[in-house]
Amino acid sequence: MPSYTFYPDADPETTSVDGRCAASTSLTDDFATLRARNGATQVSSGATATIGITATSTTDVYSTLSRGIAVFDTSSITDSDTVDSGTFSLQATSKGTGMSQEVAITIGVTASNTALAASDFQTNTSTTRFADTDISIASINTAGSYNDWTLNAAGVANINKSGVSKFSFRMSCDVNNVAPTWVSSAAPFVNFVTADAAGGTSTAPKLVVETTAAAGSTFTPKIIMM
Amino acid sequence: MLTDFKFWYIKRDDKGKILEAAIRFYEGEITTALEDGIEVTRYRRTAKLDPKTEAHINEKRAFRKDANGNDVALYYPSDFGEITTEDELAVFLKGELAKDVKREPVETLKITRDA
Repeated sequence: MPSYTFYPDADPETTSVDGRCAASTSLTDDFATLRARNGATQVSSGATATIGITATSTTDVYSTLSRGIAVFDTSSITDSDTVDSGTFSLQATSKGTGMSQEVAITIGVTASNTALAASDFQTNTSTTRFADTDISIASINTAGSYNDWTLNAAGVANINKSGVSKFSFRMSCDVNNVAPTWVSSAAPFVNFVTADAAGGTSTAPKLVVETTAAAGSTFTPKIIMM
Repeated sequence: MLTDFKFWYIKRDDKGKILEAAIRFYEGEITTALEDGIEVTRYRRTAKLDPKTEAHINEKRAFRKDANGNDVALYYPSDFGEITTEDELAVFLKGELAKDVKREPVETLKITRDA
């Protein structure tokens, strides 16, 4: 039952990418309008990807929403093997709580497999979770350990044995498509480590995939005594 | 010029022993650039090394093509011994980096941010 641990490609990317996209910070809107905005910025070569939402001092008005994306080249999984389970993991360097936000995992959607565009912000609006349990920002580890999300059936089905697998990590209010309970100037966020962080030992986003080899793919010698 | 490596994937058996590791090698330098509006000085990769033309990677090496058809160097227990963790693999790969006569291995750097 081999397992594979995958990491996104670091900049300069040739097969996959990670980073974040965000809506403009120069506008302020109600939650629904903010969530439906076109993206304004992207970062795919920074050492961290920040996701979060920022409330203004005006009731139920927000100025910022950002979404994280991680793409993995999972083409090395043997085609005939069955993908049994998956775990998506991120390391974080810092965080800020507020408005009871959690981090949820959904499908990632990008125009390119090797670069992010600001317009990828508006294509990452799925409300279908790929992990049934979100992690509250208060519980996010920022001390050098991975934060793990166990993929559900939909998340496992997203693992592509013949190409890339894309995931997004977002605020729970964004995935729920329900405005958070507004708190004046609250700005919950998490800075997650990307594949572009320095250092050979990886702290990058990772996808661990457990597989089962196809029946008959492993030769078992037998001796028949006559 | 500096150099480092990144993992593409690591394959393990059901006991956690690493069976195969696909590794990409890079060159880069220390640069200063704006990140989210803040000047950050750190190591940045400028190019991915072609494993088939770099002598210290190509020697007696197997390769696998990634989803875009690029060659990636593969390493096996015959290279790194019986190991289970990324940290152990990194110790071995740092030794491989040291064989590069054209570049200096980068150490883990702390990100510095100017206020």
